[in-house]
Amino acid sequence: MNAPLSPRQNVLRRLRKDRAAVIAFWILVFLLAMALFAPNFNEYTYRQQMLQEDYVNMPPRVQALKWIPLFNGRAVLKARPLSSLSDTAKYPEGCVIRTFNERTNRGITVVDAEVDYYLYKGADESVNFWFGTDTLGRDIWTRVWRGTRISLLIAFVSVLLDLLIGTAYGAVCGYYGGKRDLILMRIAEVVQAIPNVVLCTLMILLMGGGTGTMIVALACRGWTGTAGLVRAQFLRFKNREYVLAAKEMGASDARLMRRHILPNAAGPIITRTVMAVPSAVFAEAFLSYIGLGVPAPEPSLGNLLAEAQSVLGLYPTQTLFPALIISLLMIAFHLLANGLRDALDPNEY
Amino acid sequence: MRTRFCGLLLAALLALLLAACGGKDPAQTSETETASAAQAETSSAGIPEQPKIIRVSAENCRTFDPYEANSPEEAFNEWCQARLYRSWTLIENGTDTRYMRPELAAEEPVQTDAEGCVWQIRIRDDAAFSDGTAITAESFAASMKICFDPLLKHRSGDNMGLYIAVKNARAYYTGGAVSWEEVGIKALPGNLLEITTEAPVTADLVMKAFSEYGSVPVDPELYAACMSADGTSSSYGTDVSKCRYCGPFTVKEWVRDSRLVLVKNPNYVFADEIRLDGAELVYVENAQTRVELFEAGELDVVSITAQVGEQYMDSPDYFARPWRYLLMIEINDNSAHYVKNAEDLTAPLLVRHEPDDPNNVDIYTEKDGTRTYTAKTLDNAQRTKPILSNMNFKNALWYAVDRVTLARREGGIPANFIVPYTSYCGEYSPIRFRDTEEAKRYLEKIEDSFDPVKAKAYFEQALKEEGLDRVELAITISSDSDEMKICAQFLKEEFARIFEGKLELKIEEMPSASRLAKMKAWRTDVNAFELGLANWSRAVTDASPMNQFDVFSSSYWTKCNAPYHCETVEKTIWLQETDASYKTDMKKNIAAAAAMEEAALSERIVIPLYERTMQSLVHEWVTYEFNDPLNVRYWLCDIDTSLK
Repeated sequence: MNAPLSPRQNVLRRLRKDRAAVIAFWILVFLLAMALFAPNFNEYTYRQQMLQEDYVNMPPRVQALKWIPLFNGRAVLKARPLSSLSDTAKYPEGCVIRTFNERTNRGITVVDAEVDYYLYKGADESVNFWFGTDTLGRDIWTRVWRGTRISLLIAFVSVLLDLLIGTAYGAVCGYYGGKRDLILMRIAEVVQAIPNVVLCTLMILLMGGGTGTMIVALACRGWTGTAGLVRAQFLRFKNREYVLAAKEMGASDARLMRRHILPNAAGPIITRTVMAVPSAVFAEAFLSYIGLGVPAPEPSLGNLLAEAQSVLGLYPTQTLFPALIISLLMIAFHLLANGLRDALDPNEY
Repeated sequence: MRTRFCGLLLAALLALLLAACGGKDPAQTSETETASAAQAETSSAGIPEQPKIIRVSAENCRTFDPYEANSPEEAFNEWCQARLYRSWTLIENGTDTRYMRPELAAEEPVQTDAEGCVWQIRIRDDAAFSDGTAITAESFAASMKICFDPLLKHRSGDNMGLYIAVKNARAYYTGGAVSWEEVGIKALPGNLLEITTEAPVTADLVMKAFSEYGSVPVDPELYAACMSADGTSSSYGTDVSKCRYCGPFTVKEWVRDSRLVLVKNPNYVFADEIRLDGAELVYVENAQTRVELFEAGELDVVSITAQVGEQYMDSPDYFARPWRYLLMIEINDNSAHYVKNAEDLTAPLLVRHEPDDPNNVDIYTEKDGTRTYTAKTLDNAQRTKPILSNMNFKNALWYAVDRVTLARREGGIPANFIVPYTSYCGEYSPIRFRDTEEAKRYLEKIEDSFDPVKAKAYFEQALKEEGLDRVELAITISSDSDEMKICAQFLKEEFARIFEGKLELKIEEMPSASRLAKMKAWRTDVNAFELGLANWSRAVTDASPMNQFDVFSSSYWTKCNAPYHCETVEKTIWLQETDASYKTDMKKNIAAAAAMEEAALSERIVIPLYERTMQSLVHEWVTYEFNDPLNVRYWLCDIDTSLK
């Protein structure tokens, strides 16, 4: 006969059975690890500009993955006079891979030319930008992973603040009830009614742009949802027999809340917290995208998308990588949260 | 069942999406197509002739009021309004020469006194608005009264004084004790307009002055009907029906923030020279979208950014020209404060802080050079960043900018000068001010203007003088401008590198209007801003190099972004207001411009970065027979419909 499982073991066992949640978990581990370490994988820093070298808007190139079109370092130059392509001063030997779309314009034969952009810019084989460079010649690989780190930092810290403030606030409201609950919850509703963008704009005006401001701005309103949820859980559990028994035995209010009610409310709170992380990532990205986020040159996923969108048609890879990472983050967090919700649901036992 | 339902729902959504993406917006195209159809003619061969309609990307039109025109880039006035004279292009033997052509005027101005202060201009008998309302000398004089109205304070009223000082016009415009009857603009019998100037001028200068937007006639009755009760604003030009047009085209439709549909004006005085049937001036904010519309053949001419230019620069469709705007760093050095209409002093006045003065008082310098001492208005001691006034600090900034790299990034011309390449030595002259010996004499080689070692030495000296270890400065930029963002980020990194982390630039992004308001608050707040990026140019002037300095003098004080102060500039600009020889004698003009530029640069009143270029893509079917470097006038173009 198997030994009985502790609640934690039971949750983990059930979570492991959810294949989507497990995959999401490992994706998140991978993204977190990359956010922590990947910016140091090459010699470039996130703010180093290579304008003097004219390594601007370089396409991605990875020597080992050159067989994949995305990473072969090639680009298409539009409407180049056919005759000029033989000018080796401008187009070094071998840089023109192929020409296509030949037409006549003002009596001149012009073509679109696919070129080895690195050769075209005079960069040798040792120069490789894995995700390409941006309009200031900054390495996108470094910036994307650092941006991921910043976005996740903002999301995690703001959600942690949400959790701390919301839990304490909701616990007081739910446990004590009465007028205290009435007044405190109305205040929370007023805060909740303020649109996020307005609140963030005000915070930025007050404190100036920056990571700290973003965290405070997101936490300022985010805690209200947690408070509502915790209050509901406390209302549900505060009159249970085991709580009353502990109370009769002289347990203080703080102990009752901390040791007897909160652990039973942990499931929904954990699920909500995990769900709140992608929301915070998205909110940060949105605010940065509209110019209210982390100031330049510090990257964040929203900043990177905002910068890239103005050249989307010309250099789509600048949008592709941050967009891909933000999508992965969102999907992975949601899948993991779904898995946790099912695993923590006592009705499923 | 559920899966099938989801599948059907997905298919329906996809179909809806595809339907939304495909085809043209009927609301967007119907008007043009209707106009096109109406204008389409049938050739003798029986084949319907395509109407010649050009579609150009343009700046957003704010108002049709010609007196509120901000710059020539607000293309509406070029297309739809006529002036007394207009710069035209004469094509002879394949070369093009600019010349001033009477437009609403019947002929060149006629001098009627011995000194050259009184001039008569005859208005064409057939001058009329598109609705047939005649434009006469009387209505023109009434228009001028509106242009110079002291309550309306039109921008054009200020610009009209650039070439000639019309008698009492400035006093009237600035709210002095002068009635309109005393201003030197009168309507005389015989459809004659008489202009009296403060000082002798030439016919060329009179024509140049009356080729500005200020000489576009408005309908005085309509203008009066659109005035606010207090007479300080007017809704003239805020709607298609609230404006009259006398230029090559009239406005058929205006979709705010989107486009203007124009049709040829049959009443235009040179209507037979206009080859287009109509035009669409389309406002598309996103540069990439403009290029996509160009590639799809939906736009014939588009302005592009440097990043797009990089991709197209070898294309026969690509054109670039200097664009009169210099991007520069402005410094709030508190070197000058301007006051206007101070009760006990005549305007305009210059107020300077003299740091060496033991009483630390302000010194008011009057036009004639006399000085009046009075109590200070702004306290220098309240400044939080006094290093901004330090000359060594300014020198450090000057030598720390790699202008060549920055200009290459933006497709501009590296600038260690103030007068742009678009400034010519006279209306008819092919010589640019920048190419004259006078202008070359004092300029160092552009490569020498970037010297990190020198910059570091100056910076260390400045820190020592100010008793600082490091300094953090905010640079205010417009969040609407990608160019400024790129530039500010480049400067931030360069300064951190060159000054080894001792100068930290904090980039303050804000909408354009907020940026301007913040910077212009220097008059009342010594710490209003620290550094700023700005495009600065005397936009309407290209034929008088010294006029480029007008914006750096107290005569332009209401619009100055920063407290520029250079004694040489100040004195020369005041002198030319009363001495017309600065304008008539181009040698004197060039020498004065060179002297002002040399002084302004040596005092580092601004740190110029680069001269911007206007980059465009033009389809091959847009044909024009001239290559005016100042202004490609697409309204004079033709469309070769066989190539479309």
